[in-house]
Amino acid sequence: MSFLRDLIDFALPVAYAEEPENEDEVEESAKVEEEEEAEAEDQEEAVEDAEGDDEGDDEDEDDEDDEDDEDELKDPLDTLRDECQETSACKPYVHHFHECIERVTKEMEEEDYESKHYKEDCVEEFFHLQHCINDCVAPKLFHKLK
Amino acid sequence: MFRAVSTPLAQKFITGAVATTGLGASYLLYQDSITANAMTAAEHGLHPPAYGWSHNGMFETFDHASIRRGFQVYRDVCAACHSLDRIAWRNLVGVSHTASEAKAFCEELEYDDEPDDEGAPRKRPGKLADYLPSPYENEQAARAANQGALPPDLSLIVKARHGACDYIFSLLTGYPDEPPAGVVLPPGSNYNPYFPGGSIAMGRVLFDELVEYEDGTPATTSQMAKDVTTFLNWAAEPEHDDRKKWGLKALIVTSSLYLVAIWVKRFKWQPIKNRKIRFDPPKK
Amino acid sequence: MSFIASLFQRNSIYVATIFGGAFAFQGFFDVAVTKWYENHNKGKLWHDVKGKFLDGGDEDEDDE
Repeated sequence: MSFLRDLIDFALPVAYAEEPENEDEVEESAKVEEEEEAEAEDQEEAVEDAEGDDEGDDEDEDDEDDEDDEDELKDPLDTLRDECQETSACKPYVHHFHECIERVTKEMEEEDYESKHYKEDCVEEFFHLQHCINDCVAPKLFHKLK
Repeated sequence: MFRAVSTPLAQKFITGAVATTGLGASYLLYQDSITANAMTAAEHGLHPPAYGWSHNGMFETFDHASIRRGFQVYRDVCAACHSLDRIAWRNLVGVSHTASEAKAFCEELEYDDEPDDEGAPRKRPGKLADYLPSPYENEQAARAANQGALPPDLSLIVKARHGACDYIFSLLTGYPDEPPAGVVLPPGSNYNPYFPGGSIAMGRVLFDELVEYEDGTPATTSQMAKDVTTFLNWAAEPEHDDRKKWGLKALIVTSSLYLVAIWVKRFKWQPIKNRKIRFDPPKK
Repeated sequence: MSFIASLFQRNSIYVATIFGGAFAFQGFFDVAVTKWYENHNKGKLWHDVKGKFLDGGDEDEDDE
């Protein structure tokens, strides 16, 4: 069966139209920011050269040289997971999971918890939530990775 | 006694009743024993989703840039605990590194050499024919250094686990900040939903920017996980690219010959298929 | 007779033609499939990747 799917995927490749737009926007804004940063760098370097090259040099240059993105490095996986948790499909699972955590933590605070015959855990709710998040994340993640 | 009941209809009825009772009882009694799905979801492990690996598909090779980055991740992060016994330095040549690069890697390491003329053991620098070094001398040393747990050799891990690449990637990126409420882990264990049972000895090892990629790729956790998984898939299936190319050739040849065979068969059978047989009844 | 028919007259010629034809076809087929396969996977193969690394450019004298 996957043989037929492979043939079909090969003949009719699927492309996601949303991603390139976002990437273009991000690239454009990143380019603009890089230009601004480059200008700022030049100005800073001119000032620093005039004053003398000591302390401030390395820090400022490192801050602006190393980052390809605007801020720190953000893992696209984390971003996607956060986004997917907010979708209408996965919100109920988040709700159930939090409900379960509340329920179980309350139970754990009871006096006779140790001797309880059946102790609930939230694995089932956690699995349902993760499954929903995964279904949302998996088709998109690798388009964001190199 | 069965035959004593006179009519065939009654006999049929009795046979039917006995059969139904027997089959029904067997079904009810044994339905849970027929399959082996005796595990809870947690015991089974969360099913990893299907990611868009660039080597998925009948005609797709590995991304060798990813293999190269993955080797770097293996060497800098995983090799501290996991061996890769079946891979020799020469296997990297032409796949992810040049011969000079591979030589430079292995020459930094020491391997056992033949004893000298007096029988004293000695060491020599590595060569391409040598295999990648193990972090521990033996299993006991490995267990002692890891609270009794044995970090498995990774040379075949992708083929040795259900879910293959998807599983390895999900495992590496699937550590939650804390286990779900109510889960009790044995001391020293970590929670990972993808690991059958949920309790795994290895903790999370991949964090952002742990490694610096030479080609400037941002080393996020998921990027490193993808690359190291691709590398491990290559290690488990080094024939992968060739295999798929041969598969393509085999498919073309067999399907062509199949169609030719159909045509030849129909050609040869044509006289038989088109013959008409006429029967002249004898005149009386 | 036609050239083609003459190939069938002597069994030795028939067999030789098949062997020679197979040899030639195999060479052509392998090159053709390899070319297509490598084109389909452009960018992923070691051949393409090699040139992209700073060290790789300097060091690839002797080999693959």
